[in-house]
Amino acid sequence: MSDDSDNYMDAASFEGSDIVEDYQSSNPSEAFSDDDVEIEDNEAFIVNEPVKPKKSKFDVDYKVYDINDIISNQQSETEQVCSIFGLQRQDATILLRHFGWNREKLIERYSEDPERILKQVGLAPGTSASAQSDSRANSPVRLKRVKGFTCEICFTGSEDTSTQTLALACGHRFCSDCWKMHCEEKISGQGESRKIECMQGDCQTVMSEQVISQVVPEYIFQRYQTLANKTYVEDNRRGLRFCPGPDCGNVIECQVRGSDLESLIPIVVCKCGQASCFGCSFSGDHRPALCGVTKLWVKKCEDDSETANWISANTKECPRCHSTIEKNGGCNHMTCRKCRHEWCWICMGDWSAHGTSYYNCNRFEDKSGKDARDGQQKSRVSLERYLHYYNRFSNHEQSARLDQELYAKTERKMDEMQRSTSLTWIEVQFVKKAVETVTKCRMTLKWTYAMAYYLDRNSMTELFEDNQADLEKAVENLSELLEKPLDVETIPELRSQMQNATNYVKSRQNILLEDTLQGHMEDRWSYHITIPSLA
Amino acid sequence: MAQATKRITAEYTLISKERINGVSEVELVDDNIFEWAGYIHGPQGTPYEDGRFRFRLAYPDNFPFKAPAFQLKTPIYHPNFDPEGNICIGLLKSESWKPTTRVTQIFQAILQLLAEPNPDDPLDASIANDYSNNRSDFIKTAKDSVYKHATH
Ligand SMILES: [Zn+2]
Ligand SMILES: [Zn+2]
Ligand SMILES: [Zn+2]
Ligand SMILES: [Zn+2]
Ligand SMILES: [Zn+2]
Ligand SMILES: [Zn+2]
Repeated sequence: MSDDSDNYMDAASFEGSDIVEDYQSSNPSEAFSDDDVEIEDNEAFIVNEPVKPKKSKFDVDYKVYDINDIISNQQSETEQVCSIFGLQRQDATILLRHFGWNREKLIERYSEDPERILKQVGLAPGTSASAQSDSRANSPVRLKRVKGFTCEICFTGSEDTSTQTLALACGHRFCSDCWKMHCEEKISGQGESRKIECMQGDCQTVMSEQVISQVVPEYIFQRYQTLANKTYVEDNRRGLRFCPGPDCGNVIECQVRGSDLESLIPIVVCKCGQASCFGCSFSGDHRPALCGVTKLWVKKCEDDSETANWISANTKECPRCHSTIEKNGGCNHMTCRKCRHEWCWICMGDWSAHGTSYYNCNRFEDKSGKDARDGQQKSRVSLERYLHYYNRFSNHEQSARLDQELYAKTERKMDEMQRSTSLTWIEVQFVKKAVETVTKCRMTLKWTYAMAYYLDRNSMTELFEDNQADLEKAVENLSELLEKPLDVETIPELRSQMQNATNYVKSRQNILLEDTLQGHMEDRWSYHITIPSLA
Repeated sequence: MAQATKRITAEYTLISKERINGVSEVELVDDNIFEWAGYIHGPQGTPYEDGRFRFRLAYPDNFPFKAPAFQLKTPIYHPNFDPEGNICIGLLKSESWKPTTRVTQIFQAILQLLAEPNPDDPLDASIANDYSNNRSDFIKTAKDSVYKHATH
């Protein structure tokens, strides 16, 4: 690949102002599409339009809605019901909320017996189409000053004063302060938005949105609307779910049946960039592990958290001279500052053994590496086995974090370099790409260890572990490049090395994911435990 | 808070003036209008008839828009009370509580529940089982409990 074409790509994304935006619109199968290659083949100005990766057969269809979409969806659903039955909008909303936004059910039940349904949901009769001549239906509930009114709830009011009051269609009249307090307790105290009833004992008349807005302050009404939108998403049977991204609030629509989860992992990516699983609600991309495997593993790690804490400690002793070494980057290739011994953070074996043709640090073998790990005194084989996988799982999690920390430092340095040298911002973006790739691939690797923990030992599993080892080695190489010092002279060389390594890592991830997900569809993996169904 | 104080004071005045059958010695705890204490008397013809049960009634700051909390301090053998003396009745549930409900109605509902336990919605399943399937044992255990805890 030439430097020029690559600059075009970066420049285009830069001028398009939002690299993240490009990533947002991406499909989770981004990993399978060679987007870099595609873009380079295109003319530079076409690149401004985000390249939609092809959807693979391993992906699910989904849509991302923002809060305005959610509000307008409710409005159009409400209007449909209004037009069918000639109802007022606020009454249609109350009906829809009662039926959990299941329009079909509402239409069926309402057609059978409108009066009964209106009564059941707390709408006084008189609001149906047949009774539209009724004056009440056309005169909305309003605040009214009444002289000589005493409120039955707060005992306020007297013969000579006039009090601001309100009565719903049922006619139960109370002072407006009491209505306000009532709504505040329901909305802020109890988080209620489906149904707020009249304050009178045994009266089921429901307060409409229009009435609530008259008695509560603006901020409470906003809270009410937020709750109502949340309820719409939660009650909806269409398959809606909030994005778990921090402060996101977007809603994702996706159809997944429980039985799909035995062969499919429905990962969705929100516009905010947050990946999550629609099958098990996990906040992240847990491919290639199935939802059931993910659930088992998360539970196991919680149960064994003490062990987990112990094992994920940030320091280890050098296997040769026993001086304490702190890990300060994602790379697992450790060099002891004192004795210069090179060793592997994960298995504590010689690093030289890893550099040869056969990379076997990912594989749990009872004999090899056992001597080096002896210091970690394990009593039972099962615990040892678990620790093997947990150690690798949590190591990638931690390394991803350290890679990001390292990147933050690098970014500062790149900032400086831009100011003091002829390098442009665009010319140092390759590091960002590399870090993103490493981070994503460490997530994939993490979950391969969770999956491998439950796999039977057979030839299929060995092939799986070969793919895992290849990806892991590629990731560690790239991670190691990230730790190299940046200076103006070496940047061009480092850039080409890092771009090649990044592309290679991506291709290894594609191979692993594609083969493993295909294996799920073919039922090729066998587990030594029953994987729970999430139906 | 001002609304709550006014309403609770009115309720307290009412209850001090007109005695409710089955409720006695209603008083404020530490002169706090939001904390009532007193005794509930077991209704005639029930295993609880010889007992008197110390109760607490605690009002929230935004009473009467939120229900008060009722608790029996004296142990009682009854399917609708948990070991701490908490009770579960629709009238006092937050989702069905109504601001117009009077305190006298709360006492009446509790006396009613002592007279007629509701084993279908129990807080103590084993007592409910005893009540439904082994009435004579239930009555005996309930009476023993009254003599042990509720007759002094
Ligand atoms: Zn009032
Ligand atoms: Zn009413
Ligand atoms: Zn999001
Ligand atoms: Zn999942
Ligand atoms: Zn050393
Ligand atoms: Zn190793």
